[in-house]
Amino acid sequence: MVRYILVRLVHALPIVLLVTFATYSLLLMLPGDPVTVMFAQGGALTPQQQANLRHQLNLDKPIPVQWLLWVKDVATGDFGRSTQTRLPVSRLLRTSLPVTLQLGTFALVLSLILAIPAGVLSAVRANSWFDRIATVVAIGGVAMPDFFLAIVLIIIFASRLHWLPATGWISLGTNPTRALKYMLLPGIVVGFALAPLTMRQIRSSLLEVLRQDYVRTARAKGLREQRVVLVHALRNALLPTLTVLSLVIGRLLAGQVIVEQIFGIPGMGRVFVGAILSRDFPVVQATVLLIALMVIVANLAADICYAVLDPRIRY
Amino acid sequence: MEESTYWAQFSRRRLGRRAFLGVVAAGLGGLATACGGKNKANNTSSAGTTSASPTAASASTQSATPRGGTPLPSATKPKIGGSATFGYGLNPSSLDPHLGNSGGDGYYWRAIFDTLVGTDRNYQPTPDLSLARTWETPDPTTLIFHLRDGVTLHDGTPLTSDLVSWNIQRVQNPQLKSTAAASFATVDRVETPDSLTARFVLKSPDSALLGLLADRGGAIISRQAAEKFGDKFGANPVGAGPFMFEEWVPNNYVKIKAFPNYWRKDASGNRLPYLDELTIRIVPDPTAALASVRAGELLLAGLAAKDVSSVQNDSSLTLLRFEGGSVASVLVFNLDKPDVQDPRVRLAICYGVDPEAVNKAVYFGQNTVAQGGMWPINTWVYQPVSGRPTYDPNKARQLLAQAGHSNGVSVKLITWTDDPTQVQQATQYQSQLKQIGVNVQIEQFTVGVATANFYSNGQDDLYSTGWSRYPEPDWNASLMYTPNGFYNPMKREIDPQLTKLVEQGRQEYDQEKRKQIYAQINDLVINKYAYYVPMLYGTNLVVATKKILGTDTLFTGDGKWQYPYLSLAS
Repeated sequence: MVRYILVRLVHALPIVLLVTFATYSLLLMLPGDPVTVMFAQGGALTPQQQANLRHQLNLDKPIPVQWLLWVKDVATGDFGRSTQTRLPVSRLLRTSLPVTLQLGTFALVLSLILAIPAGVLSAVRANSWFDRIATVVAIGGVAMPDFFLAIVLIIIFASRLHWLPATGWISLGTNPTRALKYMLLPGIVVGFALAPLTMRQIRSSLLEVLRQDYVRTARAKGLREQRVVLVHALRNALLPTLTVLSLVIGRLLAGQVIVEQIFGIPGMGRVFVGAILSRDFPVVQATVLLIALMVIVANLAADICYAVLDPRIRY
Repeated sequence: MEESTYWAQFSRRRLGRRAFLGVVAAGLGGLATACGGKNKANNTSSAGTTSASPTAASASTQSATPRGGTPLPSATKPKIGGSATFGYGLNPSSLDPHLGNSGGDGYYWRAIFDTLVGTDRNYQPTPDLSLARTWETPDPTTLIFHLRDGVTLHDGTPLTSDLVSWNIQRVQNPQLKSTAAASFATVDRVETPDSLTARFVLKSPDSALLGLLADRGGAIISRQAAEKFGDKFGANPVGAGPFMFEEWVPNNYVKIKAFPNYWRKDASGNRLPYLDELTIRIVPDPTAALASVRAGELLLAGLAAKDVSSVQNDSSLTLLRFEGGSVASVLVFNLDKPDVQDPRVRLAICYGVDPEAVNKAVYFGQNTVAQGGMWPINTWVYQPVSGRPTYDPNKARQLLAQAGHSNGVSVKLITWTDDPTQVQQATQYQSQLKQIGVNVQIEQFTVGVATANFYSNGQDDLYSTGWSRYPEPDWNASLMYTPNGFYNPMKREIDPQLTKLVEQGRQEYDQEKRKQIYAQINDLVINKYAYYVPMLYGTNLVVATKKILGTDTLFTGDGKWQYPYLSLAS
């Protein structure tokens, strides 16, 4: 198992390199180069100054060379400076990454709390009124745009009832109870978008598992239905769900941009999109690197969970 | 008899001090009555209020449009102390005023830094608001500033002419790539005959310098701190302004606290700023910001035009307006493009668009149809341009027919997507122009790319865009109307007369004469060449709760916010 993990981590390196290279090339192919974009808002650089700046930012070199120079810097821990603020990129990441992780984890937990019981009940009481309502809610959750849900929640819980704050962010480390209040509404919005997927997945895999012979045997043995479903069936049903979840993690971590924008949360999503729009290469590259790493680690964690859940799976 | 200097003439233009204060008293009374419907606060404020700053005062005499705002009841002493939280939509690009490149930065750096020259709300240079006590121009290429004595910066370093000289050199330094570097192109050197006298020696006469020293370039930063923090100064700003920097969490908030040794005091000698601590939270979504204001989390926030009616109907909220806070819509033409080369085609397009309809549809009627040029209302240089295009589809069709295009013409328009109102505007123009036979193709990019495409790459026939408020007229004029200006897409001279006028505008120190020169420039640019034709002036909107007082002093000469005279209601 340990060897398996190490091998997987070693595989991560070429994946990450490939991803960053692809991103770099795509960025450079976008219209608008960083130098003109940097000063479009009211500065005036002479052509000579522009050329100097381009040279300083390595923009006059071929793409692979530029990327290799960046890799060299990152290998020594230097993520460079943002072309927008001229402050170190690591400072930006240090403040935004924990925020995204905090919100993402909270939303994931919320969605699982919502989805697993709903999915199990839907499967066990298939085609009952509960199942039908849950289906409608699930489809609604996928169909509803998250900005709409966010605004509705803000109007109800913040403007009218004053129960929860509308905007802002406090990290868990500073003040856990207050942080929870700030996390609740955005967490619900993001969780509500994730939950339906998980719920439907659990429902369908559980339905299939419940038809299996060994479940019939367990019931015939006289085990309580609750034990049959939760201990014997659910474990097997969770495997495909884990797959789905590991695919969704990437989206979760890339930043819930819209939610961050509406609630004023200083997460990585906003930083990322803002950097792309202003062609802030160092920030984009660093963010992509981080996201790629996190997705790889999340997938690895999912694979390890397989092994935990199913003793037949051993690496 | 004393030889009359250029600046003495300039200052004599204005009212004498007593008359000025008298007008102020009347003006404030009128302003308060006009605003009386909007806020329940005292209607009997007078010039004697302790919150009356020269900023609020002169603003009321200039414009008849009520701005709203809660002045302090006249007999009340403002509450000194307390902390407040405001909301603004943009993260600062840098807290170093010389380096930042975003229009939203002024909301932050103006609290931390004072500029050598301070202005009132009409961007009129005002010694009472400046780090320089007085200034004079003994000859057209010399500008002498006499600094206030005893001013210290946040780190205790004193304000001296050496510091001023170092600041100007810093901005001019090409290594730094300051966004304000071009402001000081005419400054050859700053001499320091004594510690409180800074003598600017200019390469050529430059009347824009005072206005530019009231902006980024004139912000005085601490040399000691700049050298200590190096390129991290942008995250550790130290200046001479009313507030000291406390904390900046990017995209989350900026926290500042009162500077106990701030040089300025209010009219009664109370310390400024009134607030002890201020947190400016970065809240990009205006709907959520309004919800936060209603929930009491924010005492003041930027407001979107769509929410104005709901704020007006809410008696617990105050609406603040600053008209002319930007040029919300301007059509910029590339005069060399074949499709729009004929000035009649360009004028036809200008006659064919209906800015009032756009104002109602996109801005909920909050903006103002432009009757002048690129320098908006509520600036000293503003004048309506007589004979400029207005909405007249018949005239537009006539012009097109004269130009030989009775069957219609096709043009390519570029605009940007960062702000949805720009795209909405452009789409409205497109459908209006269809009525007169002009077929508009719209290209959309983010603002940086759109600007680069239009100005640096010469693509597209016209640019439908907005513009920040730049009250010092030479700043825009040099960049737009001169042969090599960055904002000249053709990169060639448009008209020798125009080039000459721009230069004259920069060298004329008499403000009345300058105003006339810029009026002539507007006439050429709009009526003859249809080059930069503004359609709408934007209105800056702010919503505040009743818990914050003194909001009639909120707006600065460049339409941003200032906080020294804000206090908490008791």
